[in-house]
Amino acid sequence: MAATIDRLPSTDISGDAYRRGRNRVQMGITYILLTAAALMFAFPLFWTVSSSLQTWKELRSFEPHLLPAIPQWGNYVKVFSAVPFARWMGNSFLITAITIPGVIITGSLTAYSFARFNYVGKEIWFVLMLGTMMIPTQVTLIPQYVLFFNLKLINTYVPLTIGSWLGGGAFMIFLLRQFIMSIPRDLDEAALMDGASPIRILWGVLLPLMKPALTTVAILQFLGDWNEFFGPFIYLNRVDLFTAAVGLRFFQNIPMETSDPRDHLLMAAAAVMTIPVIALFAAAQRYFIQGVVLSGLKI
Amino acid sequence: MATLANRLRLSSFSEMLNTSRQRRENFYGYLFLLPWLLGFLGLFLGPGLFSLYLSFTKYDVLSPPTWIGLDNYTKMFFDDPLFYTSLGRTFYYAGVGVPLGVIGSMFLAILLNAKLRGLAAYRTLFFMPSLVPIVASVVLWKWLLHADFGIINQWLVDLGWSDPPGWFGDRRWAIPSLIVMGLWQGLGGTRMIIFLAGLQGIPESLYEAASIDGATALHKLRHVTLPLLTPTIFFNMVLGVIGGLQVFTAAFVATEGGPGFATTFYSLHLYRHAFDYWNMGYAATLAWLFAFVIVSLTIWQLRLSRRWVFYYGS
Amino acid sequence: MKNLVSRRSFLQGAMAVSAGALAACVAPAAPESDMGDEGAAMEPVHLRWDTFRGIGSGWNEERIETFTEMHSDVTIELRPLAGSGQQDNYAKMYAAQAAGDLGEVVAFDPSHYHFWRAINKDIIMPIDELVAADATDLDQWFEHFLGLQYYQGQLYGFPSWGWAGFDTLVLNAVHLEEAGMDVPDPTARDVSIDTINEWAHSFYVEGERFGLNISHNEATVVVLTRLFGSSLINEEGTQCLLLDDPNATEAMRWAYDLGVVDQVLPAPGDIENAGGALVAGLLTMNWCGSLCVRNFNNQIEDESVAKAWQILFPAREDGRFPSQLRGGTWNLRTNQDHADVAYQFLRHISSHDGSLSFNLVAGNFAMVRPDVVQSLIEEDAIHEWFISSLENGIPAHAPANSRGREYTSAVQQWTDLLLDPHQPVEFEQGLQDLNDNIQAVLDLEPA
Repeated sequence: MAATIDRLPSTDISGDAYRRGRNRVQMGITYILLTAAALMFAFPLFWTVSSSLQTWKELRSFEPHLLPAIPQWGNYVKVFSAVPFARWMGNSFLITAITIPGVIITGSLTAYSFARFNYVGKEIWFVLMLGTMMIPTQVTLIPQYVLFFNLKLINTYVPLTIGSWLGGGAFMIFLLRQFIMSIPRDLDEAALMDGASPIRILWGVLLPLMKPALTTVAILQFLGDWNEFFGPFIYLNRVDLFTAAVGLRFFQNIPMETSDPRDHLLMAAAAVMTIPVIALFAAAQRYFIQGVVLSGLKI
Repeated sequence: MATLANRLRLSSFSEMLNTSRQRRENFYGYLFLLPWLLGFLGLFLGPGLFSLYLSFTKYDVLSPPTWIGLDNYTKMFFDDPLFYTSLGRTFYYAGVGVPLGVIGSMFLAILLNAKLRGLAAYRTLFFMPSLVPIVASVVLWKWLLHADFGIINQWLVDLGWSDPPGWFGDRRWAIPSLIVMGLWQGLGGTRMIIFLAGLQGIPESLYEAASIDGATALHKLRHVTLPLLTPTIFFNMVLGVIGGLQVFTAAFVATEGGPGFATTFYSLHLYRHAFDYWNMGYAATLAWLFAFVIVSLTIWQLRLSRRWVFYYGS
Repeated sequence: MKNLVSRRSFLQGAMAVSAGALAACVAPAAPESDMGDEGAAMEPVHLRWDTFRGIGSGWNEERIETFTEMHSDVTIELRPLAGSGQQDNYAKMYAAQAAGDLGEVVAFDPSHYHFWRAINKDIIMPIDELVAADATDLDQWFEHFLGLQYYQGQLYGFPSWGWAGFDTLVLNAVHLEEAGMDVPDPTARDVSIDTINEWAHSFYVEGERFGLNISHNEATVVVLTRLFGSSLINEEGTQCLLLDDPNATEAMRWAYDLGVVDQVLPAPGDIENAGGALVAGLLTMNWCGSLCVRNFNNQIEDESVAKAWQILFPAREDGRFPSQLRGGTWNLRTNQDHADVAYQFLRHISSHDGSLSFNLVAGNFAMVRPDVVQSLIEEDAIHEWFISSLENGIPAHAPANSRGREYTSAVQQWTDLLLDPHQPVEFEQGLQDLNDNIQAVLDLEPA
């Protein structure tokens, strides 16, 4: 008896140890895989930064230079002194500050409508909504430009931001709908029994559970607006209203065969533009891992 | 929760209208749909219908459109060889690139979702390529994949491939080159973020329950993670197909549709007619045919989704 | 509720359609001019300058400042076009024109094939009367470049940039010296086509170096056919000459033998960064435009690897030098109230000072004025190498139907196919296809 009692824990321990050892191996493999892949994927950032510190000659050489012979910090100075790049970045921030709340509020409302209510014509609206993604923008561009021109909205940010306050576009709505549909309906029903209004259910029950999704939407909206080129290019004429993505082309606008390239400035401007995005991503990503979103729920 | 395919059956209309619960559903459904509906009707429908009208006209933007009936459509089907080749090449690109991209992003997200120390840094790193300006990554890849002097072909020759691909300069390899570049740029981007967010929606309790039953990591992956991730996979597939079929920038910047039309994808063909040749009417025709193709594909995917997409708690 | 909303919104949508249709239809006929309506001659003149040329270099601002210093009653608003490609910028200009919002000073370049269309669509105005009223001396520009500014007997602008096209072989002299050969005189035009062919073979080392690179863009293909005494299309821009003129056929055969039969040329798209390849010693001769040599020279850091040199093509039987004189323009929009003021500004940006700083500050190639070429030679003597092509070159031929973009695209892509070494086509078949596809573009109805 005593022997058995003695042995049981020991087998248990050895089992644990075995399991722990196997976990270590698994973890090790995961890290190795990740590190190898990360090196490959981190290279572009390194490449962007490195080339932003090179001279145009180094950049234009046939075999890319991994590192600049002498780091050209002056490239960064030129980016801000040659053009009002700081102002343009400020404008880009302003646009995202308008659009992100818009897409979160109206996108959630629309997604809520599609995910939780059964009403006449919903299917048709849903397909039409997806359809808006499928008409190539090239053919609606000119009519839209003329429309906004007649509304006297050229050289304002309205054409660039109004969509985010009107649902935020099919991609975001569809994404949010998928998330709402993954949340058990029992929760809505329970709140409904307690007499909560639909808007109360969205606000009090669903939105708190959608933090990862809303963070995703915010990041994607930021990225989209931050890099959006064609809209600001078409709708803005005044230099002081330009966005960073449009201003970037100032360094690209010289005929290639015919003059000293300014690729190094382009790369420096691009590097400056990616810094806020990296900061935002690093800050926001805890919402991806933190999310013990539904774990407390009973099935 | 019924799938869309179910909901597409409109037979129960009258039944739906009658009950008071249904009236409530209608009211709140439309109330919350309102912002989008306004945008759709005000900003999209007008220009959209205008472009549909244009598809029956000859229109160069500067003179008024002139009605030419179905001429653009007959030209497209019978008199524009590039219509078929560009469509075929687009399907090739999307057919290979999208599944690879979605599966790759998913496994990357699963790896990065592990509760390991230091993963925050990794997540940020994987996200990087999607932030690098396309001009910069084109320079990089054009050098890496250079047929004669590129490092990759040097490796391939060392490995014993005596006649390695010509990559961007070879009509057979130009699309694979773009796919490789796109994967590298896209695996850790938007799709991965969406997968990460999707993984957060999977209840911890399910994994705990599986652990108690002695499930291995592989089991958990197959029986918990993957089924519960299907809404996200579905989303990324649908959007991936839509995006993949509209592939434009990479080919526009890296290959300009060449060599010898090899990467003249449908969107590039359309763009040329719209903004290079100023055949806006014909471009509208190409656009609407394309929209029809993508909508059909998407509806097909939505129907199919009933069989494999699993909404937890429905 | 639902019906109400939908109906109102539908109305909105319908308004959008009609607004779009209406404005797109009628705007070109009656573009509004901002300053005209306020009317009185006392009012200060406000001009808008829409351009992508010089943007970010400070050149445009300097021109505006020096002009407004002289004309204190004039204000000029620079509206930079920052498209990702040059054609993007035209897209925006056409959209602006459709809405009636295009600036008074613009540029629809002949070399981008927008010039003739812009005239046919009444976007830009003839300036002959303004020239006469001002007694402007038209001899200040090279005749060929000013010639590009005429259409149906009327003058529509002044030259902005301009060069002799792809009229030279940029040469790495180090390779010749290594082979114990004398470098040719850069301006003598005494290297024959056969010698070029021979060097393309002898300097080619598989996997290490190419002897010659020929890109397949229209600028190169045209000069290739001109090198053999022909051209790609006739002067009227109505007929492709590849099959009809044996000399043109021979030119393409020459390139086909090098690229497809002997396979000593890079495949299409294979050398993207030809300038870099030259500097790195990976390429001996690159078919390029004249001032590429200047850039090559600027880029060299190690003279033991690369030394900038050039070969100008031999004169043809008719005595002309193989080249394609081409360039850009500065234009005035139609329907403006102060065209005389805008005209003065046009002169200001295309004057000696304007044109010289357009080269030196804005980084463009504007060898369009003899006095500017002289100033450039003082700046860098290498510019002397290019004068002969400017003086005795052959102007560009444009499609008569203004289908220039289709034309350049057809030339590029079908030449790729003809000269594809990976999946070769028969020469006769490839040439027939190239010819037919170019001819098909020339046969299109006018744009």
